[in-house]
Amino acid sequence: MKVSRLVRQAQKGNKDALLQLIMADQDAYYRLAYSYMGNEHDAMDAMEDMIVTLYEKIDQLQKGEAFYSWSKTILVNRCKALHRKKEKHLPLEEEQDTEVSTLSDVNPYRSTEDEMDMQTLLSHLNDYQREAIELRYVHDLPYHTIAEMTGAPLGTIKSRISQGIRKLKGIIGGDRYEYDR
Amino acid sequence: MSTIDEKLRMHKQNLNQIKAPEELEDRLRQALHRIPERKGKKNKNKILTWSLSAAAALILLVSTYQYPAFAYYGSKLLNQMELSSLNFAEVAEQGYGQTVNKSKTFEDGTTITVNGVIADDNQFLMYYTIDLPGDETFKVGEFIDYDVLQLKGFLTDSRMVTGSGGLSDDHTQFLGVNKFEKVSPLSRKLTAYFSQRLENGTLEKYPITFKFNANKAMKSMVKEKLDLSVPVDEGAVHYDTITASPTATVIRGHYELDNNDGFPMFPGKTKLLVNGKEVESFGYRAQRIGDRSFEINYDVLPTDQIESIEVVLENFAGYQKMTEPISLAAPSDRSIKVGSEKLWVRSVTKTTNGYDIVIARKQFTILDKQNLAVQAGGKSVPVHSISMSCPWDLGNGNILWEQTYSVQTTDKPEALLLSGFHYIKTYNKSFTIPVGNK
Repeated sequence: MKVSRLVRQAQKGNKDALLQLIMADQDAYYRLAYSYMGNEHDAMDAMEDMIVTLYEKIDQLQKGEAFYSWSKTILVNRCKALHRKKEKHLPLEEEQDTEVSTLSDVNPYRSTEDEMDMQTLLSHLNDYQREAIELRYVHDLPYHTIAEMTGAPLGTIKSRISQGIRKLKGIIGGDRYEYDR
Repeated sequence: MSTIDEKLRMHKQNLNQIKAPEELEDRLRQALHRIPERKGKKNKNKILTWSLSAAAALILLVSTYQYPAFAYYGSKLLNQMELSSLNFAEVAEQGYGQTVNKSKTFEDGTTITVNGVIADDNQFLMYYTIDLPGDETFKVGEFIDYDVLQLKGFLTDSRMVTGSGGLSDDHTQFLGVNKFEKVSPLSRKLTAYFSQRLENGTLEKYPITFKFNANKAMKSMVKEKLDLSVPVDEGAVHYDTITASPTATVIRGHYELDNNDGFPMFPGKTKLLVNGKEVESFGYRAQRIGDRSFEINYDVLPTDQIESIEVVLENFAGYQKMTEPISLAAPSDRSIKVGSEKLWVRSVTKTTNGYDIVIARKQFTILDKQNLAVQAGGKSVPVHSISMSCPWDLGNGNILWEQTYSVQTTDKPEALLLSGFHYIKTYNKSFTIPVGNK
């Protein structure tokens, strides 16, 4: 599949070309959305938002090859926007509910012991560190793409990752970590 | 060895089991269907050009308006570490910045005070304190849920770049220093948007407006055009300017690269030497879209008596073209030399649809996926899919990254056809900048 060719078609207004581009990497997009939103319903909403934004803004994309990192950045932004919206509109109880369901989802991959373990472990990190580590190690995105996605300078991303990893190592090793800076 | 790497790998494997739901395609198709077809671009472009030229005119106006010179150099220049760890009274004593002392007390009794600011050609530092009501104290190690991320004023909309802070000895006060993008010298008033994450999750905004006097901005010690163009494998790195102000030293430039979307795979390392001594680097920012500009932030120069400035491109993204195929005949854990780097062809395994080839590499050796193929049965077969990379821990402190390359062919792949790879290349190109002695 030639990405640049499809991007050019999508830029001319061809909706199918855009859909084809997304479907070719659908699992990666979905995983990214899922890891931000924590459930299928919201992940799908985020992806819908994303494709609408992509269609409206694809004119601004200059190089076709950059489509995937560009569109994933937009997906992450949509996820964050949805979160913000929820924070504003949902009463407290409901928000806690979604959080619990993230952890105790009936899906098999969530119920394995290892995964629970990992969730607990990751909960020791601050949101920024956790996000950077997941984007780097789980979604395999390069630092500069993560920097783009999160709007933080590259150096900040690197230090969030290294500090996060250091913290996790401290916890696993049983070291004291509470006031680790 | 390092169990955290293993845990992250497991975490990834778990996440990888998530597959997009069947109905995804329909949902996306419907979402697209609901929005109107895009209209021709012509009109839009015209409007865009207009607003762009208006913006250009404004930028011109601003850039011709220089900061009025207010120079004060004490016997000693404070470095970045000192600037961000001292409180405002202490930096003001050394002749830095302008006092603000504007506070606001919020409903819950918390008082935020902007103590003072330092403006110069590179950035804007804001010193502030947060006092909790009554006897309340900040808990050590707890996240401070106050933030100030934005600064606005006439022709100014500056984002926070970094921030730091600490608690007073009795833990009743938080002292913070935030670094913002530089502000316009035409701003007479600035508004800092403080915010607090409340317990119910909402974000409360507390704007504080204060007077700003551009005449008290601090003058730069060095402000030179560099116009250096350094040829690299994929084009050129341009160093455009160097600005050494009392709070930072910044080299600004841009990339002109004909590969990887015009943006380097790795930012590399640029060293700055002043009077023969290296100045510590504090970070790098770049724009991946638009003008592909970058800036590298260094510490404050140790002196204003500058005899020589040297810029060294130590390493940077390199691209090694490959002309010879890489044999897949004998997979093993031994490395194969490719140019100045190494690859490990670990296994070639038959699958139901074809073959899976596992290749490991160092973290910063990145194979070019364009035209990636294998030679099988005398034909060239393109690589069908590439897995995400997993760490391969050698157990001796070295971690390699392996990926599985799947090809759909009934013939056993004989060789990998690779057009090239990205890596961090040592350039060590050095340039001396002439400086007028002051």
